[in-house]
Amino acid sequence: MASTYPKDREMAAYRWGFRIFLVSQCVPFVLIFSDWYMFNGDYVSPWVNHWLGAGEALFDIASGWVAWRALLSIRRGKLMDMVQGFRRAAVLGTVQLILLAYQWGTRFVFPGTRYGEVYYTLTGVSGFYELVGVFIMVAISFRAVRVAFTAEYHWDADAAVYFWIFQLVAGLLVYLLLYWI
Amino acid sequence: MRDMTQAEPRNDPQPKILHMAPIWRGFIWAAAGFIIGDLLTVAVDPFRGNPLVTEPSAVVGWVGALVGWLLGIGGYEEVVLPLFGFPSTWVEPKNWRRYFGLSTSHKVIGIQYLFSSSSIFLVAGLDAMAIRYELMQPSLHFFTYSGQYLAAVGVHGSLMMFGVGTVAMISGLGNYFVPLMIGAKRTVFSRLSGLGHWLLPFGALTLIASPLLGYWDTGWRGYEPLAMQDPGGMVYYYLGIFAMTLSTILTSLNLAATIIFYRTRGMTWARIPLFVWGILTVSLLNLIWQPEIEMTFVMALLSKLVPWNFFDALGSVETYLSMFWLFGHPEVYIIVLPAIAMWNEMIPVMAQKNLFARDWAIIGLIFVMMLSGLVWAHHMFTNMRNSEMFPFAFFTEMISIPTGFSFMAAIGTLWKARLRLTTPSLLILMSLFNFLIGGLTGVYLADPPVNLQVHDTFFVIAHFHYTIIGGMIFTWIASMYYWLPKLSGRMYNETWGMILAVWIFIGFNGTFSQMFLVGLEGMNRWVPAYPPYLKALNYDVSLFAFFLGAGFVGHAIHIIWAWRKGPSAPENPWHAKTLEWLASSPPSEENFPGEVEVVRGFYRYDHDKPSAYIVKDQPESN
Amino acid sequence: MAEALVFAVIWLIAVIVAEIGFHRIQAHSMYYTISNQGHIALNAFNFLSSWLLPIFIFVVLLLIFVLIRFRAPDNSPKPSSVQTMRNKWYILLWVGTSFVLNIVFWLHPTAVDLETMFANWNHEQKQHPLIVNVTARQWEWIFSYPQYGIQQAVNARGQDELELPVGRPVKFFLRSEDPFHRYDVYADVIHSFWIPAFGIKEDVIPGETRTEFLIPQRVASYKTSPLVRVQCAEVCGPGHPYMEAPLYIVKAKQFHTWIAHQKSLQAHGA
Repeated sequence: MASTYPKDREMAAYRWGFRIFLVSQCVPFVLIFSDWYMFNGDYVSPWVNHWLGAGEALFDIASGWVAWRALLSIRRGKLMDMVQGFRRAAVLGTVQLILLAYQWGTRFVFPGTRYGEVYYTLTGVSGFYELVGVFIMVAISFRAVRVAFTAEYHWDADAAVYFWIFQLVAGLLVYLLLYWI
Repeated sequence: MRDMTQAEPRNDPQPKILHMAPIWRGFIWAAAGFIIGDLLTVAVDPFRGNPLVTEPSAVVGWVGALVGWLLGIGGYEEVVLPLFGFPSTWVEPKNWRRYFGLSTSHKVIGIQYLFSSSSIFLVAGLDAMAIRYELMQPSLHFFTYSGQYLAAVGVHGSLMMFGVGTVAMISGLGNYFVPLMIGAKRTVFSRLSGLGHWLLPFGALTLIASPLLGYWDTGWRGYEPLAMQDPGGMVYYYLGIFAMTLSTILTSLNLAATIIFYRTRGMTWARIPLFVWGILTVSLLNLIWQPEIEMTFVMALLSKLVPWNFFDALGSVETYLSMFWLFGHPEVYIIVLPAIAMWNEMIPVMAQKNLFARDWAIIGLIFVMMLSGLVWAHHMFTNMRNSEMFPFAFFTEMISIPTGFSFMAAIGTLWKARLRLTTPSLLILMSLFNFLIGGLTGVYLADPPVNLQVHDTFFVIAHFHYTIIGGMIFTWIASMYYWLPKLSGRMYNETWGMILAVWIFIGFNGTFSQMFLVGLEGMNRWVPAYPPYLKALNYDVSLFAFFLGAGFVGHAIHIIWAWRKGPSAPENPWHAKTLEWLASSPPSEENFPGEVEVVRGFYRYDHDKPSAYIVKDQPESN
Repeated sequence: MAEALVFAVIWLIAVIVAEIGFHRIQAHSMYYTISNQGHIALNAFNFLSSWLLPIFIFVVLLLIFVLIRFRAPDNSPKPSSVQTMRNKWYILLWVGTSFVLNIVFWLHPTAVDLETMFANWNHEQKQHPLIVNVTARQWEWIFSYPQYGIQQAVNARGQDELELPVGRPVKFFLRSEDPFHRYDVYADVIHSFWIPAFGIKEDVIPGETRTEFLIPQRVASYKTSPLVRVQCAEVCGPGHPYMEAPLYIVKAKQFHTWIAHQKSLQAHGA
């Protein structure tokens, strides 16, 4: 069966198929961003905790950086570096989620206000994508060991990092919209 | 093993011996998931004394049930284990049992979708019969409460839209035939697609069960802020549609990637069959608009649970309306595009005549796809300033132009043809007639002054049933007859097929043409009770509706009979030239005995040369 | 060519017959219309009908023509004798006609009618219109006449009713709110203010005030035609089907008697 589709064509199908999926996943974000604009405009609540927000963004960027480094190492065939990188990225992502959960728990931002509605919607959606991303990063780090990814065969790691970067960009946009713009 | 680029686990898979059918295990795990999710919510609820099932706990329980269901149906062995690098222990049975569990074969998935979608059609159809029975009298006599009737209307609409309209031709026939028609042996994301099917029955059951949580009364559109007032059933409306649209997204992603990347040698863009074009354009629409409605429903769900004020008097009611119709209008083109593509797929075959103006037919599909995102606000003319109506009236009128191209190609092909009058071709001609009426009445609705009168009346109901039943369901049935020899290797009975076709034609036009009149006479929508002067017409409509319902059941029985017991069909009964007819009937596991090489377009009948050859597998053709 | 000619002749005859037939019935083709707004809609409806008839007849006739003339005598798979894939003139005619028709429809009735509506509204604004405040709640229409100090117009049995003088412009202010539960932000939903005989409807949206202008042109009531009624057209909950109110269009003199009667009702705390 494998002979039907030459290897590069099959890879292209996976790659572009996944990219199409990510583009289609932009739509929900476009929607909530425009709702942010409609309902909230450029108002920033004085109650938001800028330190925690900036911390989240930093952890986000750091985990994206670590994940990207991990992908580069598997491209050079260093499997264990990649696995460790993925797990570190997942840990950083989890820390960010914990920060978010803390912010939700303390209700710095009151949910009943207009800003509050938009705040919880935007952080909730991007938090959900991040949760999925953490799950994928952990799962793929296990899979990488068991099936022994190589410099040639590591499509799953590619996909995981694509998704991780996607949620990173979305999360940063959410941060910018909620805390700055 | 399945594909070489994906590195596979090193140890050999130990086949799993399931002690019960995956579908039963799915049910049990789903029940367990629901209970866990529900109890978890109760446990963290800061306020004691709430009932065991509340709106939030029903949502969390539902998510648990969904996870349990997908894992139980085979997702645990086939998806989760490989995700963590363990070998998949999932073994697809070789017999009929494979249709009742997770499958990775696009043909099995296609038949699963066809079966689910037909079952949903039956349930939603019975629902319609109940609605019509109620409307035979001007006051409540069948339903006890007005809310029951409105919930019935909402379930009917949502199931038909998301379980039949966007599914039967796209996920059902699309999954089965698109890979065959482009000469592929499998699809790109076959596991995902196999998992995706099981979202459909889950979503449909959620919707069917929704009245248990209270009669929600918004109809299929879930208009805010009424939805916020509604009882808990509303929550399962959002969740049920969420699951069903997710299923459609997965199918669309898989089919779009398959069409773009797994075309066989010689299947250039210029040679892609029309039905495949239809599915490709629709897939792109699905990938844009289905996530949009999902996010809208998430926001509406949050507004209801928290509650928030996005869409009530404190927020912006019209934002929900716009967000809904931004998806809602492309949705109707999602439903109808594969159907109008299918007309021009079948007519040349039935006439054995070159397809007329093929490029125009395809351009029509593409432009409908592009314009469909620009017309949504014509559903909201009663909400707009005159100046805002202007551009939307313009685009709405313009979209009839590319739709007309499909008519142009069909009519050009039919002119001076030697048309074989078979059941499929008869149904296609009927579909052309019905869709013509649906389209022309759309011109009235595009005109704001007329719209302001007939909006929200039975005129609109008649209009969209003409496009959806008349356009898509008729074509779906036609395609079932057309492809029955391929699906089953058997032939239907031509006499019965014709009788049943005429039957539903009479039933359909009797029902819905009179609905135009009911609407013009002042009957508004969503009413189980209406002024008595409308009774005579409504009584008549209902009689025809029952006749129509019986006709659909007749078609189903006939097709099932032919599938199992019909006379065996020749290899290529219609003398069609598309690739699916190169495969055996029904197609083998690998679809084709070798590589397919396309050498000519599929719509030429002025010569006898074949359009494609099968090249036997060469050992190292990698 | 002969076939095309025969077809064209049949089509032409059918169109002429259908147009004549349509022009005989067109006064009744929509419904009972008694307002200036409604006449705009009715004229647009009739205009569209008479222009769409030839297209409808063209396609339907063609389908019938195909069934009779181009039907294969048997189901053997013989190729058609004509195998045209292109016909410049046919395509040009089809695409051209559909473009022209759609532009025409957009200019008239759409653009022209919207302009007429605008102009009417501006004109009626200056004519000292009768102002009626319409409040929609679940599930009741409440009509008040601020110019006459009437809070809620009701009939002898205390049911809401709407009474309008014939020939005088009316300006409706439409609001969706519950005057008895103002504290509850979740109490208001979308309704739609529809008087079938007036040929226009407008959604009533919580948090917004909408206006609607028109001139009732004939004395009428539910007894004249069942279309003379106020009806909620947007689903607003289980009570939606019952959200109706009677409408009376009366002569000016009778209207003033009615106003006086309403005032006395109000004064006596009815």
